[in-house]
Amino acid sequence: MSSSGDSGPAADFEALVGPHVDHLYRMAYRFTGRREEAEDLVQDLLVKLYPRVEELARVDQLRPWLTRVLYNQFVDQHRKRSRLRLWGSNEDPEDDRGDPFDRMASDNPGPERAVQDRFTQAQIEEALAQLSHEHRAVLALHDMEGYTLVEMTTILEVPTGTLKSRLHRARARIRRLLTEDGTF
Amino acid sequence: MSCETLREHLDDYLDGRLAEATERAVSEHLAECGACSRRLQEARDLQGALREMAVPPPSGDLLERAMQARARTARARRQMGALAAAASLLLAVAAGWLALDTRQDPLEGTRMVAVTPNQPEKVSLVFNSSERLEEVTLTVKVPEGVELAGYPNQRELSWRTTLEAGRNVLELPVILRSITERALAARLEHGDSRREFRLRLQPQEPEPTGGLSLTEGPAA
Repeated sequence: MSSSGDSGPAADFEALVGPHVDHLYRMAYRFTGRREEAEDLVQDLLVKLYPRVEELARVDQLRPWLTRVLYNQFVDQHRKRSRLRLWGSNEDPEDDRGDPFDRMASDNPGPERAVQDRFTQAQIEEALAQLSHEHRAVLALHDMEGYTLVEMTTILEVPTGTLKSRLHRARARIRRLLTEDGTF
Repeated sequence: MSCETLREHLDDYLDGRLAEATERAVSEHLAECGACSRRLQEARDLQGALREMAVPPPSGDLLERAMQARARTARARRQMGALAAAASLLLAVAAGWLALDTRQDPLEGTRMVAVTPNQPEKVSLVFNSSERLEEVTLTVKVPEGVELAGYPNQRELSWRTTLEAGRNVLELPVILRSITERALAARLEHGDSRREFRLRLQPQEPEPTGGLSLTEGPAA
């Protein structure tokens, strides 16, 4: 795709990054759990990366590099939002997840569809939304997207041992949340 | 192996990361313990459910949108550069006004221009002054329902500069986001002197013509 028939840096950028955009959006959705947030995250990242096209061209394994930068941006935004949230501590935390209709896109299986026999997508989304961003990230990468712990060390910049125990705690936490929900 | 020990090994067992002997001990325990067997099945169900979690497709072409956003940002930066340069000129002229004329200027007050809503319109403020003046501050206040192109959330812009004598133009790339009239305010300050102007933006039907201009006449 070329947005405006650009040549030079714009064409180079599109050629370099274009093949990874779907993956970045997918990972952004895994991290955020919301389509709109995921789209904003990817768009912000692409705009920021555009001036760095020469640096991108020198990156050996671009996809994990991009995924790492995406994750770092997600964490930055998450922290900023957490600070802002101090002002709204009386707000209902449910409100923060936005309009429930946003989560019911027509091509989305929707909250009533069973994922496996035991769970619905809505129940798992709700449990995931209650996890810390670190726990959500390890579940997203390992249990949803099938990354190995070794691959994850590159993306999250955390040693394997730490990731392993983080994954263990994240699973325990989500099981507990689903148990409290009466699901597990 | 106790149930508690099994729970400690459950994730590694699921992921196939156990040493052979430990894995065999886990399997033997599972064969005998219904509760742990159910726990393993629940964990497997959850893993399967997580793998199946759907990702809705994006609402558009993200790369194209990013490239458009980048182009808008670059354009806005260029406009802002021009805006700052024009503002410097404007300040020079207005400073002359401020220094020389303490009366109520007949041109001071409110003017109106018609603009097409929801599209960038260049509104030019033209000032003439007779002398140079330094350290003048121009502040443009952008009301709700109006934005400066490329700066959707900027409600106030302020510059400090030296003004030169002569004719000076400030082009403001405004977008009227309202279907009702809004007023843009500009303030010039030099020392203890202050002049304020209001520019009413009146919505009109789209026209094929280009920018609009508001001209302020010569100072006293």
